[in-house]
Amino acid sequence: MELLERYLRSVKFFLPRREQDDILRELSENILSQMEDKAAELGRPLNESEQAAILKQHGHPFVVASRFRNAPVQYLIGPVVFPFYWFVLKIIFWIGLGVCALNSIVLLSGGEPVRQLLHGLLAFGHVQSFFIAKFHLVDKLDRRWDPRSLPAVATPQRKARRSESIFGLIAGTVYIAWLLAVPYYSYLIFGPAASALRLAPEWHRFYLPVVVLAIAGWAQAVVSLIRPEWSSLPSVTRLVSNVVALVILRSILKANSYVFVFVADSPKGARYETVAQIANISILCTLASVALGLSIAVIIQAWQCLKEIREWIRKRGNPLPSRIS
Amino acid sequence: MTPGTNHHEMFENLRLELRRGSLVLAVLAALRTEQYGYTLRKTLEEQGMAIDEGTLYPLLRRLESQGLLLSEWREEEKRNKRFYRLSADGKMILKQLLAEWQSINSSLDGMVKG
Repeated sequence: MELLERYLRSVKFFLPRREQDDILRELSENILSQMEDKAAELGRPLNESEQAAILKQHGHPFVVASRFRNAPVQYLIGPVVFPFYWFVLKIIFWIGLGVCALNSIVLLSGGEPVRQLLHGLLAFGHVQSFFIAKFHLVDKLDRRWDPRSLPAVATPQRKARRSESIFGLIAGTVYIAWLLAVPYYSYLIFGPAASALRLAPEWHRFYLPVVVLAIAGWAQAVVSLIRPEWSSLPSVTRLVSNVVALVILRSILKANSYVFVFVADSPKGARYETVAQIANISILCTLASVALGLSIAVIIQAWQCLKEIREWIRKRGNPLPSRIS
Repeated sequence: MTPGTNHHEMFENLRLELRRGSLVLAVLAALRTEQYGYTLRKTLEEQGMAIDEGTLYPLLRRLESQGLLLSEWREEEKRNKRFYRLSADGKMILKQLLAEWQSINSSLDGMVKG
């Protein structure tokens, strides 16, 4: 596919802008059909040389594009005037040659250095070479070119979106600040009930991994902002951090309770017990929902990563077009 | 260059010129049945009227722009292809060209046999 893409891109360069897409679509389909037919005939995918041979058969991109130009055939001279033009050209050639010879004699007899004479002859030679080259250029172009020498297609590089990285950075900063402040200000979790409720000791086991995970996410946002061209990084780090989060969640879900009443023997103790029970059930349901969401996200992200890896392997190991091979 | 080579080259040039004149007729005749570029080229080749891609594909577009062909993008074997067929004008022109060709043929026949 890469060779065909390079070929089509080169043809496109010489086509009239208005018709480029239409012509290329058609040309691409016809060439692909031909390549498929050849592959079916050989019973195997085409290699690069075989693809190049088919493209060469179609012709040099410049020649192909010039044939597709929809304008009526244009003549600089025209078949009617051509015999007269040729006749005049021959006269001018002999006159030019005569003038050049006379000029040389005058220059030599006048004692001019031979170098100057050579300059004159060179200029004459250049004019002749230009016309000869013009007549033969197109023909040679079509016969001698090699599709493998066409310029490589610059694939547009995928980049991590800047806005997404900035948002991740801000959200990550707020989240880490909140996580670091929670042990000192339980109000941040329980609000007005902070004076009576506390997190169960089990949470302390998971505190550090959760903080590390948050810092990793933040670091990824920073890297994506600095190096947006590392487009695979967000999907890989998201997958890894979601798997780690799932492992942590699994352990948290095994805990008996998440919240306990700090002042059980106070007059409001019974009421706070009820609040703690409701909080425990709510936290359990929330954690279960988060675990479910994360599981789905992990499956999707794993599939995307797998696709990226396969694409990377295909590009490295198999240069053949995917639709042909 | 030997006389043999010269003769062969001359024949080849004249042969190409002769066939080039019949290409439009062959393409129009083949497109009485709808086809896309590549299959049309194969059909022509199978019928002994081989034509290179660089000539056929631009010719199809030219005939379409002249109103002799109609084209339509359609999916076949999971890919979009441009199918060509004769237009009403194309059918009329083909009929006239065929009559002209038959007339040339019979004239030549008469000259060759006579």
